[in-house]
Amino acid sequence: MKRLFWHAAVLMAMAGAFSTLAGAQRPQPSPEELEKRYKAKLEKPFAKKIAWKMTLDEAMTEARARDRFIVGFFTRSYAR
Amino acid sequence: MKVTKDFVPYLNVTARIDGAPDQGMLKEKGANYFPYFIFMDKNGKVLIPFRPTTDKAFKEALGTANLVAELGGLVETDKENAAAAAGLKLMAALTSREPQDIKKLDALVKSPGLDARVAERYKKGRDALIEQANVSKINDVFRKASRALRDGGDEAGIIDRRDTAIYALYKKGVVLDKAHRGTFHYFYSLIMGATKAGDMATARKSLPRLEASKKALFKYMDFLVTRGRNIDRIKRTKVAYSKMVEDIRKKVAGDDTTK
Repeated sequence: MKRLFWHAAVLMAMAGAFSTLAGAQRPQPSPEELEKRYKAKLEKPFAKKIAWKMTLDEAMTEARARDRFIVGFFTRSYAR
Repeated sequence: MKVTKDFVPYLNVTARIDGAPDQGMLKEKGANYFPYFIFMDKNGKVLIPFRPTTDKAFKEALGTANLVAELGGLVETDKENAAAAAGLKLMAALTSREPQDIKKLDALVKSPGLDARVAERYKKGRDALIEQANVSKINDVFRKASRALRDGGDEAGIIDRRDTAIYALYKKGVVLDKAHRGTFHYFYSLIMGATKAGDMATARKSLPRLEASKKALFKYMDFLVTRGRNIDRIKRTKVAYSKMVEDIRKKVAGDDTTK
């Protein structure tokens, strides 16, 4: 029981610990699966509803032209 | 598709595939976690990270980004502008996830000519910075113990030293007050350390926080179960944690009956 406690104790001391653990234990997805997940991510409503710039270069070009800030949203598609 | 007027939206997806744009940009912009939101200036320089939890939070972050950009502009124009430089340092501290040196910041906020908006933000955010610094010190104790265990040290001795260290921090004022899912082991360790030191008042005071932490943690575990994650492990962990709380409750209550 002490061992179990410690495994979890160390993990739970940090935020999001269990999801990290879950990610570490699952087998790595294949390149095809990663591609599929990436495409699926870009089909989600948040990605479709806003006219995101997909590269920082594009974002900077527009920001300079319009004299605006850039809001960067960093997410991932490789994990479920 | 919505075109934003006030800013240019940039989406970065870490995909671990060839051909996805800007892979590695997350690290370049100073983070290693998701989701990560930042305001950048038009040259891609990070102004502030933020959490757009509500519209109000987003608007506040936009105001903060404007202030940081303004201070940055002042420093760029006049490298000797100490008040603007102090303002920038304070704003960086307020928006950072890293632990901060409160004494240094307290001195910095007294800089002559400091922008009143920065001083006001510091006044509002100071308590959160203290908590952040305390969390960091407490996590260091847990990390040190975890490393010692990984290295094959004596388990009972390591746990004992950890509890003593957590209690020693508590006596120095390095304390967490709020109970949430991440504080279960902190309050458990604090009660153990306090009990060992004969400080039953602290043990009793901390017990409701341990129970509240357990409740929040179990709620989170139940959520993970609905996502199909580590179901068996979570079940075992819940049984073990329930027993831990029950045992410690008896220990603390046992002391009560002797008084």
